[in-house]
Amino acid sequence: MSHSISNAVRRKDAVAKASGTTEYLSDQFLHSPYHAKCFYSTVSRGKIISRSLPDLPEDYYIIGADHVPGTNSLHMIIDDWPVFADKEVRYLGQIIYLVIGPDKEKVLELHSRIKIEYQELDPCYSLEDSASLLGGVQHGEDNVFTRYDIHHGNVEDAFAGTVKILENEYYTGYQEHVYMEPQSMFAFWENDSFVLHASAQCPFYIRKSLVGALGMEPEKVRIIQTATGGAFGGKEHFPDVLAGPLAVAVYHIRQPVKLVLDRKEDLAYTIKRHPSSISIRTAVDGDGTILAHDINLRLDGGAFASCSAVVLARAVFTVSNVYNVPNVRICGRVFCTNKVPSDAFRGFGAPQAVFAMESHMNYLAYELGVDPLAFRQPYLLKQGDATITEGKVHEKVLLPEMTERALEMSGYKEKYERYKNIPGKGIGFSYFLHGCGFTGNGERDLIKARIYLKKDEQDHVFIYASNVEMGQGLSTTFCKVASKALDIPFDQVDFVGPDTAIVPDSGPTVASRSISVVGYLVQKAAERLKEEWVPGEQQMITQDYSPPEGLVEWDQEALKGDAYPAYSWGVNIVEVEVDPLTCEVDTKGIWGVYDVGVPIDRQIVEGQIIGGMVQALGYSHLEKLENRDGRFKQATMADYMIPTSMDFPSTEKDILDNPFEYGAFGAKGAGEMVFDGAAPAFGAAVSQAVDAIIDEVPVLPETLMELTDEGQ
Amino acid sequence: MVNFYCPETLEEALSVRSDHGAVPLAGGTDLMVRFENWSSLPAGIPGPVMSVGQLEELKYIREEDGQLCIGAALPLNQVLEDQRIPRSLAAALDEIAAPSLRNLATLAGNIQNASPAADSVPPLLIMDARVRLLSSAGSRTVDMGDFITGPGKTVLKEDEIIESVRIPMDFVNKEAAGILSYRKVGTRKANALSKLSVCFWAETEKGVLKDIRLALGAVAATVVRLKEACARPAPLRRSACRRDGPSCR
Amino acid sequence: MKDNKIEFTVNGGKKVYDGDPLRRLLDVLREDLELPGAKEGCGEGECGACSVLLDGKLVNSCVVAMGTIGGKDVLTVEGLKETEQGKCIIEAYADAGAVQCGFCTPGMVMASEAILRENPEPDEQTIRKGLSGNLCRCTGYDQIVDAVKLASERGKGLW
Repeated sequence: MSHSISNAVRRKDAVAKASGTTEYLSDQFLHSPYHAKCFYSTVSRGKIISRSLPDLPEDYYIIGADHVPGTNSLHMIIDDWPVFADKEVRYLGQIIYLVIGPDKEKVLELHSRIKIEYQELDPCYSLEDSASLLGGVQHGEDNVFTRYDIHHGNVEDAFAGTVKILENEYYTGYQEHVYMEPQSMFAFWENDSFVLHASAQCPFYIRKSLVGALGMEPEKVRIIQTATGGAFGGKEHFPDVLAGPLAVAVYHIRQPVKLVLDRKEDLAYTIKRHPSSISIRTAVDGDGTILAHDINLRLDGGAFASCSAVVLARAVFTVSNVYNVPNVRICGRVFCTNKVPSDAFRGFGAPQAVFAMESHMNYLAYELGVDPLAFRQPYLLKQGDATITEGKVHEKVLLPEMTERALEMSGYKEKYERYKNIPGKGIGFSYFLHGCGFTGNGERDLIKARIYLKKDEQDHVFIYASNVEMGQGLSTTFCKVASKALDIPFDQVDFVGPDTAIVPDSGPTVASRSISVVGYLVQKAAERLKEEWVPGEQQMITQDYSPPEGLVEWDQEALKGDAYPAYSWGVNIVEVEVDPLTCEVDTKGIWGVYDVGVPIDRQIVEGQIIGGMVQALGYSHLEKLENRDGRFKQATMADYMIPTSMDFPSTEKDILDNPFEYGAFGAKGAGEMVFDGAAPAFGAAVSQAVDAIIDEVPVLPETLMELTDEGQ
Repeated sequence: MVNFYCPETLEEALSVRSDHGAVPLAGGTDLMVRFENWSSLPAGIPGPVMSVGQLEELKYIREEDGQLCIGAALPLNQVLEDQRIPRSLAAALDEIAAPSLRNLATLAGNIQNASPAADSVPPLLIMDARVRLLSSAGSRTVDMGDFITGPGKTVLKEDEIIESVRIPMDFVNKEAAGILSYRKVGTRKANALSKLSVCFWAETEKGVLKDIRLALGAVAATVVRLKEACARPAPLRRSACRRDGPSCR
Repeated sequence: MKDNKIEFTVNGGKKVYDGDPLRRLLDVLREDLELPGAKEGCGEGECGACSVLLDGKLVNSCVVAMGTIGGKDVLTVEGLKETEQGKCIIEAYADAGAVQCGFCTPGMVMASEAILRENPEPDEQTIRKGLSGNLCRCTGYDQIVDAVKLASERGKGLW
């Protein structure tokens, strides 16, 4: 069934953006009286033993830990990340000072004269270093930021009676966001308040992290989101890390200051996707049936916790993927190392988990000598099945229909058979799911989203929420939802740009929650406004979040209950050719079939699908990002390679209808799920092409050469 | 602020070069990036700089003394669009960076940059191209193979500029009759630095390869031409050719 | 010849520049002329967000030194959007869903103009090649390619 709300409209922001009239931060504040440059640590781990600062001319400032008026920490999930490094540094690139002045040349000169002497300590660069507490413990008692254990069924009994145990380990690498607009912000002092304009996903997160550092009331800290030139998770918590030092500086000098990172700084010192190492032991009976998985999931969190705990939670709750296996044990840990912190990135732990499980399913099929697609079928989750957290799959699961559609679109079966006999060609398949909204009790107990709808005397309706437009189309889809529910023209509704002084806190722009969770509030508010509508009068509706009914109550201590109220689902197929000489991989075909509930604008969701797919294919084999001795080797965009228009063919896609009762007009999340399936499908395709198990991404020609050499 | 010169004639440019040692700047795709400064500050190129992109005398392609001469200040895209240039060179230029950079970058810049991965160099080496250098004192012409001496190092003197790159017409005329293969391996399909580039050309006579020419980029300190490997005529076998190599002809 | 004033045109208007010749065209467009349509995405000629047409050819304005553009003609998105061709491309971008975060889009629009000037009816491969120096992290490019095709169809006779 097709829903009228899915029909594409012209995005609210399209013409202004294409005409170059949309003002991003650097455009809005083309000229600034003061400029800030970060001074970063140059060692990965050490104590600061001495500091030597240049004499400062009038109007120039070097701001550091001593200037912090409140507590020297940024409040994210925990408080471990300091505003400025004080006595110690924990990663190369940690901010020690902000150098500020009106003339950039002079700022640079002062910057070059800062000298820091360190007493270096043994840094942890790997999970193994961290686990062995190399150089002494850095977090808690064991260097583990967070640990989550899952016990579903009885794994020990299952392994005891088993015929065969199959085990493999899977690795995923770093990934850099490369939002096209680097981190950008501009701040000033107004009356007795601090005001920050920032390219950011979560204005209220920034406010929360600054309140303690500045020792100010939340009402005196105002965050205004500017047009955001891409984010992908990179502007979820990281803007806090720049806003902290900037706020401290503005607190002292009471002058407007602009802080925009150059691309090289952005590549070198901003957060990345968590590298992962996931080992899966599987118990199989005599018929080749999976009895149990025993999973050891480890993430490299970098130097500070940031939101690693939540990334870990999603990885843990997603790693069993779309399969119903009766016994699953998971030990999930995120480790502290001395590298740039890992943090949010589209998919948020799910891509790593899905890559591991899908690659493992292929490995099992290979070892058992069965067809990988047929092998998966008996385990596919169905409505009413239990999840590994003893929650339930509440919705109808369309995987069989989606599979059929994907096979038909791609010609998978015929190609899969044919490529068995053609070296260098391969086609691969993946299943995946993505929980909608915050994990566990987050929406109910932590976020408690609220939105306003306001109507003016001209009967124009405005949506007030803290979720941002960052390219995903929210300013359009929110308005579509409201106008549909109100039954008024799309043009009669507008989205108010997030500003903490004006909008209520409807939560961060993360977790594919904006349209599904917050959009639902917009719909409910609009329905109420419609009932109460009085033409020509100002009206306002406040709508608060209430959890969907019929869920299995979440217990955060036991990690039991419904981890998510609903899931988005996907099937990806990728076809490749591997060059026999150079081992370069050429992607020949890309197919995707998705269940996102109901797409609020098919064209926008297709944009998410294609964009997510290409970003994930970059992750799969182009975007090599190596950390050597705490420093990323790929220093420029000429070294770190994101896909160009030439790298991939068009994505063929389809979206199946499966309305979610508690999502806006049936919508579930789409923005992240579309990233989750490409890497394992790509890996499976390459695996067939080179006749070897692919157990890591990115898949590099160098690795394939080693594999094929071994094969020979 | 560095001294910046914008000579109107080649003669003027040569005297600026010899009097001030000004660095020639054409498209800027190398120097402006290498000396990139904090955003909105001028590029930090040390010492005097001289713009050469405006010198009409260096923007030409013509046949002269049995050579096809490509003026130093001609942007790569203009070179690429000229039907007279050898296909091996065109194949290489077509894969350098992206269209917008090829509208700025020049052949002279690519060779003076002397990167081990410079994409124009393998074809220029196999065609025995030469580089004509000018100074106020006179001119000299150097074999391509002698021009680059190491990573970022060439024989260009402080008072010289590159005037043109010269390709023997002998090669230009016979190129089409031979077998050509150019292959660049980058991380992605466009706008990528070479991890390896191969330029191969040979004549065939009665099923035997002769006059085999092979050069490799990004494998050593400079682009290398493998003369020994090509010394012995070899019988032509089909399998020697990749089954679907993009520029195997 | 040293430190001469640099005369050039931007979007049809004559400009005179007498600042540091090693400043980037990008900065002069944005800061001096207050034309912020060209964006700084990388500052090293890799991303194309700063694309403008220089004498009708697509270039990355972040690598163009002011000292090298005497007598040249610069077209930015602010100029292009006033033309029939520019309007056609912008409308096509909006209709094809080619705009997401929008930071790369003005540069993409300039690249599209360059493609269509060279070939008013480009095929998919020509379009993809013409856009290959303009990076987009949001769209995966398909809808941008569609937009250029759409502009080509709608704008017959414009180029």
